[in-house]
Amino acid sequence: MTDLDNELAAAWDEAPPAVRDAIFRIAVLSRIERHRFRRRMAALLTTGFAAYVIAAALAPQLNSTVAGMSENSVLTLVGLAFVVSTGWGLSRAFRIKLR
Amino acid sequence: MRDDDETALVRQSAAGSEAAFAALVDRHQRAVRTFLRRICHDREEAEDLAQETFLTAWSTLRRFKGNSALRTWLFAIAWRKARNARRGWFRGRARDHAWAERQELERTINAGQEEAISVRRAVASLPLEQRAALALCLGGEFSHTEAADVLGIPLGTVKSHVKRGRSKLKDMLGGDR
Repeated sequence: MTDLDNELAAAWDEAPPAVRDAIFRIAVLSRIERHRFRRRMAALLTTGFAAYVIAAALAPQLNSTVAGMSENSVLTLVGLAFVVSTGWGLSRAFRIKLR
Repeated sequence: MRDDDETALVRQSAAGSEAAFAALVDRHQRAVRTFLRRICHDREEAEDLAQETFLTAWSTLRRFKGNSALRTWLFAIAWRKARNARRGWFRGRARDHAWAERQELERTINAGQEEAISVRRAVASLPLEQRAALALCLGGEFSHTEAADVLGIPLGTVKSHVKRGRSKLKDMLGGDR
């Protein structure tokens, strides 16, 4: 290397990073986890919105079906739909395996 | 042996092992951060880009086919991050950069490092591509061919960047010796 090369290297790297840097490693892993969380939330919100749109589209048919049902049956059906959709959405967002 | 280790770590990381990826980060963080510190305007930006580089590497590791060395692939990601950040820099971080530069200038003058300022100023005045080519080839561990792979430009262009960059620096620093 020439004198200029040595001078450049010395000035460029006067305080180089440590060979092993646990703080940097942890910062990277934290960033990965935040990124993963944001993606999960985006998937959950998208799923929720899609479910809302589908429900809204099916509302006329649902109305006529529900009109002939008792109040308890309606509540049971709504509760069941809520539990199933929430469970499915959460399992998709967090990749939880449901048996 | 090291290449075999690294291949195994890449495979495990691509399968989702954070421990394996952490080991890869440990192996390459120093080189990536050094490269980014050389070509970025300030250290904080370089550190941020280095973390983003490894985040992107984690997200796209399945696409790494092993056609090049992992280090070359990582540096190519780092280079793209730095190049894209420059556009953001021009869009409104000029004031922040000027402030950071003043702080650094005061710090290095107080530490009696006027010569280091001179070299860093000279390097900072080079176009980004020349700076990057110099950072990779001068004092670094990259051949011109590897640098061409990292920067995504022809080999002849890399050689030209290194030659011109070196020549400009010599002219700029010549009066300080």
